[in-house]
Amino acid sequence: MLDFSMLLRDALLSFISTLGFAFLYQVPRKVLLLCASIGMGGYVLRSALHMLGLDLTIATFCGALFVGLVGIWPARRFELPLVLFAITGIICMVPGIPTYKVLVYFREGDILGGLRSGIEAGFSVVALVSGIGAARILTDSEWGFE
Amino acid sequence: MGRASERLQLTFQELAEIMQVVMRVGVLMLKSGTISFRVDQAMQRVALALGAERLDAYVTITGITASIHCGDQHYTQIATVKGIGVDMSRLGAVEHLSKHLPAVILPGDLQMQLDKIEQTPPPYSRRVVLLAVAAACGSFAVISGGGWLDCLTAFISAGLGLSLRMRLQAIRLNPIATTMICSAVATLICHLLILGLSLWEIESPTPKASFLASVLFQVPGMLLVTATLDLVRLDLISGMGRVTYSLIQLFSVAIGILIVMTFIDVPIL
Repeated sequence: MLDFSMLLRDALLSFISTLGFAFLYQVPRKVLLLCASIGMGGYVLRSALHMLGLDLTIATFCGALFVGLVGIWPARRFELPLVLFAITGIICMVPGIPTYKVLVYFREGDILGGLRSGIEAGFSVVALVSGIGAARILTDSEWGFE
Repeated sequence: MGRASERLQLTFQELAEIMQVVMRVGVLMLKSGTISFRVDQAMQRVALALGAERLDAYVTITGITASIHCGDQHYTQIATVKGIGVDMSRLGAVEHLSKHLPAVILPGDLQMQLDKIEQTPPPYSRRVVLLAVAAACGSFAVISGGGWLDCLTAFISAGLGLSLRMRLQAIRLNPIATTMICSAVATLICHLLILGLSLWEIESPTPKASFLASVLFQVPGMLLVTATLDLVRLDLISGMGRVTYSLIQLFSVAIGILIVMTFIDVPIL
């Protein structure tokens, strides 16, 4: 079931996180809040789908697809590089923590834990990149056809 | 017709001059963090606008090789690129310039416009970026299952870690060493903060969230996205270079944490 208070919390936190990285990447001022909103949208979509019982990998794919598709409109409107909205938009979904854990598990001698963590991170990254890639193939003929 | 006959008149010297500015556009864009395909596109646009007939550019993450052609003249140049960063404002400015070139423009004018872009300082000062990224890491601590206390420790340690990272980047320390040092320092600061707070008997039930969030500012987000898009375009060499770079970055962070773990017991798992 959807837990709206959790979703609201996720929305707020992912907004702040995306905004922080938008500052780090020196995103132009006029699209700062828009970038943060796109990141928030993708993350909330992922959380909501996960809560509804969808597998986290599929939910991540949908979140990334959302980020890839929604970024197209502001990129055209403000004549900015499309990649700007993708880079900031997916930052909340990058599986940093499981990746860092891999080596820590291995060092502790927990080989299985490390493998599990690595595969978890791998699946998330693949879902993320497939989402962004699919968005480009769907909308940009330069990507879809040689 | 006027345009075509103009193109035929380019001398070797002029072609070399055009190449300099075309290369500069490519290197600037690559260094600001974009995919190879967009770099190639912008270089093509600039080359054609300046009167060349054709440009073939081979863009990878560590360098650009390009040949420019006009009539029976051709000129090839290699540019090595070091110090890939992310500056979306600069990237936007260069790409915008390459899309809105006037019909008649000389390489010298374009060089001047590029000088102007390069001299424009980034829109946000160091302090603003530090605060924003520290807040982002604080939020990550809560998202990944921590409480508000973890948010605070992650905020402080990520802020200090990033501040050190900016200093090390300014003196051009090797990126791998920079990442390892900053991740080790952030983890250590986080440990000390938790230790200090526990003196007042303020203890978080989930300290691991703050440890992991305090090194998250080094997540290679740009490299992951650009690697993907390069690979989808089948720019394999560039894509593999970026994948390798992002893996190195991720593992450097992990090694930084491990270095600290050797000396103190960090509850990360």
